[in-house]
Amino acid sequence: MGGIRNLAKALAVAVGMSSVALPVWAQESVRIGVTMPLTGNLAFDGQNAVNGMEIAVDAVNDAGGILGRKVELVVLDDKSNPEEGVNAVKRLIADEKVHALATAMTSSVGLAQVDATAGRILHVVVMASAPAITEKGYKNVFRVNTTFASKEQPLLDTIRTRVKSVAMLATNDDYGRGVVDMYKKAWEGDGPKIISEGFVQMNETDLLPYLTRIKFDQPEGLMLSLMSSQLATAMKQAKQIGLNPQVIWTSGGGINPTLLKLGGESVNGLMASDNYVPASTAEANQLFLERLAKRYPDDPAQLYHAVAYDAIMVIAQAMNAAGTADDWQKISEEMHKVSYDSPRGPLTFDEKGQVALEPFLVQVIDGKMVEAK
Amino acid sequence: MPPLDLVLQLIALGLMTGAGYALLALGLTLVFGIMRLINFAHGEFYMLGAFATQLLCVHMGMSYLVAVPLAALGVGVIGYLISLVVIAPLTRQHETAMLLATLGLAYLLMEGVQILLSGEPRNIPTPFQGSIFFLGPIFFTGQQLLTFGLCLTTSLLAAWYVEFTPGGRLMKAVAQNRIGAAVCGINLKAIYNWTFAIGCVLAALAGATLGANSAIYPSIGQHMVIKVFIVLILGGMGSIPGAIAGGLALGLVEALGGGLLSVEYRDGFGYLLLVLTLLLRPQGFFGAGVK
Repeated sequence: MGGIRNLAKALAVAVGMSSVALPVWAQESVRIGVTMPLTGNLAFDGQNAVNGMEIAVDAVNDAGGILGRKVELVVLDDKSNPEEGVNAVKRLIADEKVHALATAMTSSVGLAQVDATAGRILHVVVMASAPAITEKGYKNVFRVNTTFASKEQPLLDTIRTRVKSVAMLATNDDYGRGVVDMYKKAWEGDGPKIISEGFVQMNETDLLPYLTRIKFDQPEGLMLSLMSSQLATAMKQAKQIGLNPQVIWTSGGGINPTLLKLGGESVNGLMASDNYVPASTAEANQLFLERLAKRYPDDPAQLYHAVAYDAIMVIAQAMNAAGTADDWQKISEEMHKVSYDSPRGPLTFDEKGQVALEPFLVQVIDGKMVEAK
Repeated sequence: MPPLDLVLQLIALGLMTGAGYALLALGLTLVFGIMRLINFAHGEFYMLGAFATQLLCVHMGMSYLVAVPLAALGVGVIGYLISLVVIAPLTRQHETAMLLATLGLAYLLMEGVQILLSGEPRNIPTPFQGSIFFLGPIFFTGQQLLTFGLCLTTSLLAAWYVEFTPGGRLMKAVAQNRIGAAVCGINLKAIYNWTFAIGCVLAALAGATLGANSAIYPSIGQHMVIKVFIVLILGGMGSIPGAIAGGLALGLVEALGGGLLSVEYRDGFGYLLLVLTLLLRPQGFFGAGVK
C-alpha cells in the first residue's frame, strides 16, 4: 500500500507543479485533428510533419491560443493508406470532436479524405500534392503545400531546353503517375522524347534491373521521382553502373536532408524545384528554425516541418479572425483572406483554397541544397 | 528483341538478388520444416540483422566484416530468448497459437525498433557497395558477390548440419515425427529453441548483406517476408534445396520481367510464377508429395 500512497503523493506534487507553470486557459481547448503516416516507410516523414505542427501549437499557445483557448493536436496514424486515412478523419470528427483537420502526407490519402470531409469541417490538406485535391470545388478544403503541377513548372521549362530524350522512374502511386503524366502532356509534340517510363512499388529496395535497362536505352536526361530512401539508392547505383545522363532530376520537393544524408556524394548534381530552402535567412524562417531547434534539436529542418507548421498557423489565424472555432464556413472565408509570413515566404490562398507560392530550381552542390543558377 | 547483353545482365542481377532471397528463405524453411511453424516475424529478424549491423558499424566503429557475424550472433541470441519465452511454451497448444504469437512478435519488433531508433532511413556502410567487377559485358557489385557467396556457404553448412551432425539428426527426428521423437526422450522445447535461433541467425545474415544494397528502415522486413513466402511455396515448404531453387527462380523472374517487360508488374511476375507453381506442382519444386 505504501507504493500507492507514494504514487498518489508524487501525482499530487506533479499536478501542483503543472498548475503553477501553465497559464489558465478559458473554456475547453481547440482541438485540431491530424492524420499522418506514423508507421510504414513514410513514418519518418510523417513524424517530422507532426513535429512541425507541435512547434506551431507552441507558437500559437505562447501568443494566447485561439480565441483565448488552448490549442491541442489529436494525432492518428493513417499508415499512408487511403482506407485508414478515411477511417481516421471520420473518427476524429465523430469521436474526438475536433474543430479542424490538418491531414495527409500522400496524395492517395488526401484524395480519399477530402471526399469524406466535404462540407463538414475545415480541412487543411498538408503535404499531398495531387492537383485534384483542390480542384474538386469543396469549400472547406485548403492545401498548404503547392501542387506538384505548380512545383514542377520550373523543371518542365528548364529541362525541355537541355535534353532531347529522357527516361523516367517514379513511384507507383497517384503522385508518381501524376508527375509522369504531366511531363508527357507538357512535352507532347516539341519537347524531349520520353523513351521509357517505369513505376516502382514504394517498398521496392532493388532498383538495379530498371537502372540497367535505362542504361541500355542511353537517355540524355533521367527523372527519378522516388522516395528519399529509394532515390538515394538509385543515385548510388546509377553512378556505380556507369549510368551518367547529362541531367538527373527528381520531382519537386524531392531534395531533403534525409536524401542528402543517405546519398552523400552520389546525389551531387541532382536537380529539383522547391519553394523552401531550409538555409533561407528570411526572418520568418529564422524564427521557425529557432523554435524547431529548441523543441526538436535532432530534427534538421525540412519541407515537411515547414509545411505542417504553416497548416496550424493559418488555421489559428483564420479562427481568430472569424471569432469562432466551430463554424467552418466563417473560418473558410477568413482562410481566403489569410496573409501570413511563412518560413517559405509570404503565403496566401487562391479562390480554390490552394496555397500560392512561387517555386524555383534547386540543385545539390557539395552535399548541400542550393538555389540553382 | 532486347539486346543480348541486357538479357545476360538481367539474368546475372536476378541470380544475385535471388541468392539473397534464398538466404532469407533458408531460415524460414528450416523453422517450418522442423517446428511446423510459419514464422511471420522472420522478416523482422531480417530487419534486426540489418539494424544491428548498422549500429555496430556506425556507433561502435566496427568494420563491416566484423559487424556482420556479430550482428547475426546477437540476433540469434535474441531469437533464442524469444523462442524460450514466447514460442516454446506454446508447443502444447494448437499450432495456430504459435503462428499468431509470431504475428504479434512481428509488430512488436517492428514498432519497437521504430520507437527506440526512429523510422529514419539509414545506410549500412559496406565497403563492397562501391566496388564493381566485370565478367565480359556483365557487371557484379562487390556486395552482390558477398551475398551470393554467403548464401552458397550457409546453405551448404545448413544442409551438412542437418544431415551429418548429432544435433541435426535430432532436428530431423523432430521434423519427421514430433511425438515419436518426444517418446524417445528428445527434448522438444530445446530443439525448437535451437532451430528458431538458427533461423534468426540466417535471417539476420540476409538483412546484413541484402539490406546493405539500399536504405534500411523498420518496416523493410514486411516486404521481404512476403517474397520469401513465395520462395518457400515455389521451392517446397521445409526443403533446403527448394529454398535455394525458389529464391533463384523468383530473383530471375523479377529481374527479367521487371527489366524487359514492365517495371510496375515486377511483383506481379513473382505472383504469376507462384500461381503457376500452385496449379502445376502444388508441392513446390522440391516438396514431398501431398499426403
